[in-house]
Amino acid sequence: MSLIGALLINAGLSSAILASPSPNCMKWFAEAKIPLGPECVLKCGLSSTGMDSFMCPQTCPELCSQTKNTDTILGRLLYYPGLTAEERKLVRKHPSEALTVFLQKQKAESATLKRFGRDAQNDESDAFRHFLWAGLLAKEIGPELAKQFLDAHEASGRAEDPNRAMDLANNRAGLLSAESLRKSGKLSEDELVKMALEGIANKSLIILESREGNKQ
Amino acid sequence: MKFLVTFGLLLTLIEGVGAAIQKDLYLSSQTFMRLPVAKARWKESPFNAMQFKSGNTKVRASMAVNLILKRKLIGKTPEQVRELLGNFSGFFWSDAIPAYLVEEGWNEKKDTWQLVFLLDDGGRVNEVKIHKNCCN
Repeated sequence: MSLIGALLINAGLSSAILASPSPNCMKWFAEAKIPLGPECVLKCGLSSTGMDSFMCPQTCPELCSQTKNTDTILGRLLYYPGLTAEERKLVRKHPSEALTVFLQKQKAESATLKRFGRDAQNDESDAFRHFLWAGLLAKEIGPELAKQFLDAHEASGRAEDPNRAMDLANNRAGLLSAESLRKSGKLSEDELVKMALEGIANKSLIILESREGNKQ
Repeated sequence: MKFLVTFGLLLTLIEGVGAAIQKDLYLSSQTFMRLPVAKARWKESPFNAMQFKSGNTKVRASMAVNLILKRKLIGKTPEQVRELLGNFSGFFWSDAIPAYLVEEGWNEKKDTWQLVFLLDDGGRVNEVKIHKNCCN
């Protein structure tokens, strides 16, 4: 009984964990462009997978039902706890790219924590995060769509808010640097990080309140 | 029979856990400080918005527990929180979520903690938590 029980519990646990589609699976599902509707689960289940998505077909029922409302899946699950109205429009229009935006955001935040030991506002870590996120977005989805997502993200702020102006300026610096690196064939995360740190050192990035110190 | 009932209950529990994982995927991946731990660490001074606004992280940390327990800012918009407590100094998920650093650990290679004001679907504060901003 204990063996059967253990197997069944293991199966139950696996199903409970797999019932939550991972960001990777959401990206896989969006990129597969599976039409929603009665055959969604079947088509999803038969879609080809790779090394990072071989588990995804097991979450097809959830992927098919949740993506009936892109706003819900991205707004509640990935973009918790709030999207601006402009971001919602973009997410509906570009669901696959929206997932890329989310993944690059996570990447920029992780890199910021690694470099500065904090994710704060108005300081060096803020400037670095915005520059890098903008640069990574330009790299992944192109500068035009990247700018649309970045501007939408800042759309709820007050026009005269200095923090918003700082973010927009550093976003712009990230986009321009990414384009410059692309032209010279050197566009990579490492190069973007390097340029962000140089921008902070030579004060070309905007910083409203300097906080001393970083992790490295 | 007893086994089946027990197993059924267990599965129900597991399914519930699965749903919770899905619902709170982002929050569940974060680290929050429990109030007794915060009280032991920073004590508990009465929350005062003006003192919080003008105070340093030490002053802010001392009011964190009381601010949460008294639920004084529940229902406020981020803009109202900004007016009462000043510009956000921390960062949680988005620039639009009110967050204030209460312990800056990066120079001493310690943890960095912040107060975060979680929002409901209507964009109003529905919970305040002490979040681990970064790593040691």
